[in-house]
Amino acid sequence: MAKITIDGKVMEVPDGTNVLEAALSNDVKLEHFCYQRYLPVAGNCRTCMVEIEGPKGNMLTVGCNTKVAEGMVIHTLSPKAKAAQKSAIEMLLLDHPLDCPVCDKAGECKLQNQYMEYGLYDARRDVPRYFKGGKAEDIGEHIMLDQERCVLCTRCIRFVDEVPKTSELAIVNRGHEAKIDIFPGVRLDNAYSGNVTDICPVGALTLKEFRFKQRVWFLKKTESVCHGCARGCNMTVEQNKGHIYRFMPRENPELNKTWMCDEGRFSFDHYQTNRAAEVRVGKENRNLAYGIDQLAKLLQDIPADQVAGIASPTAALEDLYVMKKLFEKRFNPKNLAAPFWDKPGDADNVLKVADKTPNRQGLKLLGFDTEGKDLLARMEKGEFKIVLMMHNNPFGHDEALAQKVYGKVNALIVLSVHQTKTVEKGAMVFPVRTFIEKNGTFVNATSRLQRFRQAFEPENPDVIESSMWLACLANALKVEGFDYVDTPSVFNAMAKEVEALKGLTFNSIPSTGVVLAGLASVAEEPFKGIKAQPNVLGKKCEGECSKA
Amino acid sequence: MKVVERTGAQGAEKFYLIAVVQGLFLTLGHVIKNLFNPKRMSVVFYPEQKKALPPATRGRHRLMKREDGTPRCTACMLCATACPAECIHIKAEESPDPNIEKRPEKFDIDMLRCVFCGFCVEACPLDAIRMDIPDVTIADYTRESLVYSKEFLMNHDNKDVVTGYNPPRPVQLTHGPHARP
Amino acid sequence: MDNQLFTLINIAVMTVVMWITPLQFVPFMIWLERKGSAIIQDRIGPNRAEILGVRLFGMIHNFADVVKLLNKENITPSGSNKFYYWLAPFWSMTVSLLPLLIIPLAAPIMVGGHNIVFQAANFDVGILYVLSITSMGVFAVILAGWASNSKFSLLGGLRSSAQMISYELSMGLAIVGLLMVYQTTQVSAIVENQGALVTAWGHALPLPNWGIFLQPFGFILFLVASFAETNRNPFDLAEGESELVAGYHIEYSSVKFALFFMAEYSNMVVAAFVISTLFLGGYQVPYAPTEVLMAHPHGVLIALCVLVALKGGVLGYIFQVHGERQEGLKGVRKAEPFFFAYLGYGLALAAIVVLFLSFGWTLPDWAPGVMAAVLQLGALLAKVFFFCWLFVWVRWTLPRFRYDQLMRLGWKVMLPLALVNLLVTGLVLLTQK
Repeated sequence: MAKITIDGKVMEVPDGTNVLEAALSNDVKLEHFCYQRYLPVAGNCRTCMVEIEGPKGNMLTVGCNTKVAEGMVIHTLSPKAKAAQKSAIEMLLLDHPLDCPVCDKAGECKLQNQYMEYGLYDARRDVPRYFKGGKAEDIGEHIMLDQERCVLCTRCIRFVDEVPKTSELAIVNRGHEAKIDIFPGVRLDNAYSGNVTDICPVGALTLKEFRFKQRVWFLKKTESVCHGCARGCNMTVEQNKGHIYRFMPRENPELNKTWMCDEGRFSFDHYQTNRAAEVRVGKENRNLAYGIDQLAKLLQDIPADQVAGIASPTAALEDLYVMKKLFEKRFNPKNLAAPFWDKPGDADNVLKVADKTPNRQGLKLLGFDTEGKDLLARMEKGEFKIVLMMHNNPFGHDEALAQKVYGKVNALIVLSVHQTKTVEKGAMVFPVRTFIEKNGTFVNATSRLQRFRQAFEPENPDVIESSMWLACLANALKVEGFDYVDTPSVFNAMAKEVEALKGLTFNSIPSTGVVLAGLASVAEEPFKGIKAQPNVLGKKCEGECSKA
Repeated sequence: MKVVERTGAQGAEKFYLIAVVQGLFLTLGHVIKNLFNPKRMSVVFYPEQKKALPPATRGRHRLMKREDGTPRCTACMLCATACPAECIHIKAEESPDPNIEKRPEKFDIDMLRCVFCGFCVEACPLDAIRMDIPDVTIADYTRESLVYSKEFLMNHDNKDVVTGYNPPRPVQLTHGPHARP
Repeated sequence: MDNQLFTLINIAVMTVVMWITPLQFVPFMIWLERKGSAIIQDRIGPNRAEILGVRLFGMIHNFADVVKLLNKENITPSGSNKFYYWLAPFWSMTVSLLPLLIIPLAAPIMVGGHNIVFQAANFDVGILYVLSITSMGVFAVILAGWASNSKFSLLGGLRSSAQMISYELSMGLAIVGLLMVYQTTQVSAIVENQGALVTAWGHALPLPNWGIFLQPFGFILFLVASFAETNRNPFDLAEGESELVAGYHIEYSSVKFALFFMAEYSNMVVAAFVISTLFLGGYQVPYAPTEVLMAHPHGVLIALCVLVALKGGVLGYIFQVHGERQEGLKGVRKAEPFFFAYLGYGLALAAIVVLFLSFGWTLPDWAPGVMAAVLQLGALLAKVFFFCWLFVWVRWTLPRFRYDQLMRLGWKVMLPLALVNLLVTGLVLLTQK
């Protein structure tokens, strides 16, 4: 640890930290462009100029490329430093088109914020502006490039070099004609290409999927966790009036850093299309109260042993817990399993894992049988009259097998997010919420318990969380102990019973998640084989660290 | 701090009836004068006679056009952002003109929600929306017909209206070929 | 026809007449309110609705109102108590129609050996009947306020009922003074008493023996209380728009609202009739009691002619100048004054001419009675119209009281004054004996 002084504030930071990181992690404001916490330092924007006291007098240097040393005295607000920062920003603004009204980055643009702050509204330029040209170039499956807006921070180049290691981008030409471009014949189509638009400090790189769809200041952000695979990358759901416009990665230094794969990033449309919309009882669309009532009547006449439950690794931990509890208290817990017949997807050594469900580890944590061979064999024999199918889609995964297994079941009660083939087969169908519309937790492949929060309330009040639906059913069946008010209360009750979750409450889970002891990891840590990141973080990121 | 005693009515005033009768006779005077000389009432018989609108009237919105007839609007949504009534609904799309980049595919103003504050006009960086069509009697039979579409808002001859709501307009267009030196 | 059957028919006809009288007054009151408020505020007022170009000085708006109100959606709010919710407007309307039954329109006359009375019910309890019926009106307000399941309604209903109950006290006490003076509660007897001149301590004074002269304080108290009872400005807190939107009838639409609306105006008409009857001599023409009128049929005839001519002339002039003011508007305007004012005047004159032509100077036996009755009816209506106008006039002149002021006035000012008035009346009556 090194003891340094920034603007008269004495602080202690780890050795090897750079000055910029030390300042940012101690709430000292220091503008920066090209510096990205998880990318190598380039030091080319010069906006983080600081004044450092030295034996030969004070000197100006960039904060990002200067490592701290014991006793260092740094000034970020001195007239000299301020003037240097200001001139660097003026330089960046010199040829930048101020077309913020049409630029999609407006509202989250670093340059725009600094332009507004430093008030350099009119450039002190007496030569004509130079236009690089190249507006809205299509450079990849998801990416548009606007040469004019680029400030040549090289964040995107460093990203494609360091993380996916595909190196499609480079700076071509020199001097004032220098610009970012793709290599001839290559397109920016790697599996992580979307990240370059997040790290682009200006509107040079934009996502086709988000371009012109919504202005960023209308978006409401909610902490969430990606549902796309067992990695569970941290992300924010950005929506306005119940319409999701994008997923953005959320910083978690221990998991996904600030990255996210394109597959997960563009999965947002999946959660708002082809949704199961109405409660269906037989062939009629009815309301939730009626449906639960009918189901309770149905279940009352059936021996508890003839009811089976099929859970799913796509359900949240709370849903699984309530289902398990219901089967323990009312039916036979042996008749509960979670066979999920999906096919493994592609994996890589960056973030993606083969298991494309978010919560298979959660099933293990609660002791679910993830194969359910015995149960399915008994099912095939026709031992069960009613099957409670939560989030699972056997008919969608393998119709022939599903027909064989579930053919003799009298009534399939389906809780589903989407309008799947299983929904079509269901005797009763209850639409439930996606992970975006509810609170809950997942356990990822590396045994990290992660919390996601509700982004918005669905329009139809009959669409409720699966855990709440199961609690409603339990109450309708007059089973004691299901007086949950919301998902957090389910979690808190579960934490008291499950050994691995002892001591946790829903709100005390850190936003970056917590690794559960006693649950073996089933996947490699992310970024395996990728060069160790060069920047030492000023302090461990807790909660709001995505500002950097 | 000074405490002021509330005195209220005093003396004869306190005995309301006198004041009441005085008031009654005041209005009675008006009645008699108006009954026998109705010409002294300054009334405009509205649909037949119309008063000229004052020069600062904020009228109906219109979308200004470029010389080629396309909307000047670039769907930047600043008007929708400034709008306190949330009555402007814009959907942006890619423009075929490479100099323009973005244009409104849909630009609806819900006149039933509009409060005529003029913020949209002041927010517009391109002078694309003005509120100077001197029409203040906006009424219709259905809700739908009062949601004005882009086509309806652009249905005018693009001339400057002098007697209208005329806040200072941007001198230079900040985007597109106009912005080039 | 035997006398008993004739009396029965007479009473039946009078009952119907007195029952529909307030209903006939309602459109007039609404018109008076609209036009009166307009003219007080230097406006023209409603003049647009027309039937074949006839606008009748804005009177046609009432027809438009009826059509509109009947075609409005008839809403029953959810959560309301359906029975009481529907009962309230009917109750309100019914109660407002009943009190007029005891008002005599003219002195009884003899025609062809039959005694014709112009009063539907000559109760002994008379004035107490009015008090009891009008005090039942408060139920409608409470029911409407409570049954609508709306906070505005409930507050409006509460305010209104508290106000009506508070002012009923001083209203009753004001009447007690009157009863002490006339020594009767029978309305016909009270009116007959008012035909004479005032006698004080044995001296006759040149004043008619009207309630207003015998009980000036009582008159003011009664007038103020009746403003409060009818929920009129300055006591219309029940529907203080600024606080309660529309008070107890906010949840009522269509015909139900129309019933409340009509009940409100017919209450005013009733109040006007009651005040005129009790304090302004009812049908009595000042200084000309019934016997005098019967004795001078020719004078009555001339008086009738002059009055009709005066009325037609003034109305016609007003119609005409207002028509000229609105020159340039579409529709027939020039002919209206002629048709609806001058024509009536002409017809009245023609009727008198026909009378003279058929009977000559010697009038038939029934004529003095009928003419006296007509003149007395006119006198009563003139008084009633004045009070109707007073209701409108006051509303558009005075601001509304605050609720605490209203209560203070009712309990701390009017009630003690009414008691003092009773005491003084009693003392004076004692010294008279």
